[in-house]
Amino acid sequence: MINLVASEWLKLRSLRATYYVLASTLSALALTGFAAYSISHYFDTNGPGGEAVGTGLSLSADIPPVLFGMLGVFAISGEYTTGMIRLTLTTIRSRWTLLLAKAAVVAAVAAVAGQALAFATYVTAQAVVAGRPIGASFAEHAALTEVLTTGAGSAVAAVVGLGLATVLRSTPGALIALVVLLLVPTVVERFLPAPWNDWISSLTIPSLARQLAAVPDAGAFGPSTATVILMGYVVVSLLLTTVAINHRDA
Amino acid sequence: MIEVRELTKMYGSTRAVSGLTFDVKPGQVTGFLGHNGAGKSTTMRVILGLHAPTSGQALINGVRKHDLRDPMREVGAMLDAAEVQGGRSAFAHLEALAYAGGIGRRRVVEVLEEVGLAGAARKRIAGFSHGMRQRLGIAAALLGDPGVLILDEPANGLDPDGIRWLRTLLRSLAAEGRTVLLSSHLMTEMSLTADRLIIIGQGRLIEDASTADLLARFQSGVQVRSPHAAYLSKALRAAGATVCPAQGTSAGEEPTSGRPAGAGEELLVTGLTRAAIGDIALANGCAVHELVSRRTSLEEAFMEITQ
Repeated sequence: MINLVASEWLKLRSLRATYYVLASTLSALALTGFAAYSISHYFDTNGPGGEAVGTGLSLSADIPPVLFGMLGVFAISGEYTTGMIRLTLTTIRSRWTLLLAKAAVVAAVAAVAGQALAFATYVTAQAVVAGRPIGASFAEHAALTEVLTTGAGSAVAAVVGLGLATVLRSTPGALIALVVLLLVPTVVERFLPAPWNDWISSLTIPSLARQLAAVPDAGAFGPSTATVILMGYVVVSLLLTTVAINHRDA
Repeated sequence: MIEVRELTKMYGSTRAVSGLTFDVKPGQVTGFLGHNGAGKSTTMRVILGLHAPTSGQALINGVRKHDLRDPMREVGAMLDAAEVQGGRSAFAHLEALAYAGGIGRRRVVEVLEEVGLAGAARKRIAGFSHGMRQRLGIAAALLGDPGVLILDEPANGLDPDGIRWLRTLLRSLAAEGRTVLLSSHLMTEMSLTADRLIIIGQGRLIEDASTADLLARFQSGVQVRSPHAAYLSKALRAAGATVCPAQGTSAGEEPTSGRPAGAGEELLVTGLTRAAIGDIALANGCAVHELVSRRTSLEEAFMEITQ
């Protein structure tokens, strides 16, 4: 298993898509910076009473799960589209350990990168807010935990992406499925009656990460339920993936 | 050692391999022949555990691929050299494969040198020629120094030097006691490389014989050119031989047309040795301008067998 993790880590590092995805996460910083700037501008002209910036994470929260999900997609979709998966599978004992190794590697990379991005986002937002009373500080309730749970959300998204790519065995297919899965709830909730809309929107990964941190008004669930649901994403992804890879000809 | 037992593989209602049974023994190179779609690649994929057999089984060293404790050190494979991710360097590609089997960088350097890619190790595979990719594929198969090698058309895209290198490599690997199974459509190369031949058609076993035996079976006589062909053929028939005009013989032979006029007719004689034919010609006063054993090429034999 350690050997497989070393192998998958090297594969991920030697894949250019990995770096493109990681570079793209900086777009979350840009979006938060821009949104924090316009909110600050509103505050300066209209005074308090408008929207708050807070930690700044929620301003760009939809971006990291999509991008880290792509990281998970690319970790295996390239092997399927080139056929290299056959070579990989001839060198290993059991297929599910390969998936476990891939999942561990993408989850670890996404967690670390997602966490770094969360801190960077927080710092960017506070720098733009520049002391106006619409920001947040780590002394406040849930501000630090909100930042600290973001990495977990990124890791879950990466495993989901890996699962979709393994089941669909196609890069475009997996990317489309990923975006649909992650973004459709936020669209659908507008058309659903209460309390369905709240439940559906509470099931998205960014929302679950906030509920995990017990951020006020983050969603319908508490931290423990949010943990279970996030784990559920991982378990369902890994199960479907294992069934798919074990029972199909490569 | 590879054992294929009553192997059948269906894809939907298509029968790709049908009740196939053969052994691939260690210490020799076994050639795997068949037309496109005959089931060679399918059989190799089943042996390697990539595709599940519909019925029957395929064993490597007595067990199924899934049950090999250390697969890389027991079996190495090259199925399609194009199936690699082009963005990686050759070194990173092999290194990732090696790590999975607990094999170190030193071995990666070794195999890159062995296949002649040491100079291109740090280059991206996307820029590799077909031949370089073949060499990389062979390098990957050799990583674990396995006792069993399964190579699907490894000679494709190699230049004449490369083909000769591959032949020497495969023969030396077999001489070390390894099991080598390779498929190829290059018949001349196969007849030079393989000790044994397994020929399949439409998923069924057609022939499983040593290369020498197979070719001996198709040894088709002696080619005789004589200005007195008609007279000579009578004499030869009288001696019990079968004689036919050797026109349109085979590929690789000099064409009969275009010869200088009066060069004599060609005969294809079976049932008599060259010496006997020469003696009969002398006894009958017939001049003989050419008297050669006509060897059937593997290509001809293959075409005849698989028809």
